[in-house]
Amino acid sequence: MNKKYRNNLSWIYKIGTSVSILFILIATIENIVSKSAANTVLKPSYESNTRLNFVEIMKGCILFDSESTYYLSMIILVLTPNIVIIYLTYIYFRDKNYLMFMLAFMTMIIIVGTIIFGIT
Amino acid sequence: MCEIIVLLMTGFIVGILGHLLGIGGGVVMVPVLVLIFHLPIHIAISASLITVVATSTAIASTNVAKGIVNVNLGMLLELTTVICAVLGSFLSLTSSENILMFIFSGVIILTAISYLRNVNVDDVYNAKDYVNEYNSTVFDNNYYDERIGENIYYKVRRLPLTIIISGVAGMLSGMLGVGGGVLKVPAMNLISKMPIKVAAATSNFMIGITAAAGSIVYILYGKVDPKIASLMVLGVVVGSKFSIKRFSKIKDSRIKLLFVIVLTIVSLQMLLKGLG
Repeated sequence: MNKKYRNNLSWIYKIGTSVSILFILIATIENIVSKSAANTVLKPSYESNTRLNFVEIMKGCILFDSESTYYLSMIILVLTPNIVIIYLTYIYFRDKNYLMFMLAFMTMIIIVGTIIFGIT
Repeated sequence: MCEIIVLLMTGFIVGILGHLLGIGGGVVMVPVLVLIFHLPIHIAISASLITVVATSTAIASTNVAKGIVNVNLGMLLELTTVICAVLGSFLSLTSSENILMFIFSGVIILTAISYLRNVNVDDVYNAKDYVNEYNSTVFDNNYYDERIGENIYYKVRRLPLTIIISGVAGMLSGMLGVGGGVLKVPAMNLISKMPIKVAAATSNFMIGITAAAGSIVYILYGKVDPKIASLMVLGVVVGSKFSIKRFSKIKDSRIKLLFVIVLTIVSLQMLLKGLG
């Protein structure tokens, strides 16, 4: 793998981690400045045993709800390695390395499939 | 406020321990969250998985740029590992807490044994063994070793066995929230004959993807506390960065032995809690 691709991969990791940490810091500040925990729009979903609702998270983020911002930071962090897989799939295809493309593509399909299966 | 400080400090300590002892942190974090914070084990596992993703991405950014990671081999092994991690996560969600604690105590003992075996062994620098090897398949590779100032070529051997072990590591990762490096690194180093530096870097690269795939299941099924997970991530990242700047890796075998004893006690506590 050439240096340009390696640097791009490194930047994906750096951006993903930095943005996620930034959102954690924002959420922590929101949590500290909020008067009480009762202000939170979103409760930890395991308490109510319901599945995650992305629309609720985005609504909460707009309303400066710390719980939703924590969720968003977590989702960004978890999606970072998946973006790496998507980028690898693209560069293998571009370089006509079809064996590696198939491996990366199948890994990507499993992860995307899991997300779709989980949502539906 | 107090809760935030306690969680950040816990993450910070786990981050320092992870760097000093060369472990991902899952083996320490899950028992801490279960035994000290009295959290449900599924919540502890998901928090641990998300923290593993954070530590992996933070380290992988450097290793990938330097070309130490064997990305092609990582992708080959990752296919099996991701499938097993997703299956492991589903299995974990359908398993009772007692069974998970029972399995986790076994994994802690496995980590302790692997650590005990390495207590009296110095870090043997074996890169020279690979100097005369030549690239022949898409998985064979080379990297520039800063310590000896030359490119080290290596040939990847006995892949099927490493793929199987990697799959088992993925299953454990998804089920228990550990990185699985304790299985992957020895498999790549001892079975596939990769230099230890490449094995560790490739394992770390893979751990991030595996943990991300596993944690997606927990997130989608709402088995996660975002506040706990995020604060632990922050603590662990700051802790590991602090440790990298302040301390070098501990060489004293007595401290490693102490860690083995602590792991054994934690394992027994998990076992007792699992037995009810």
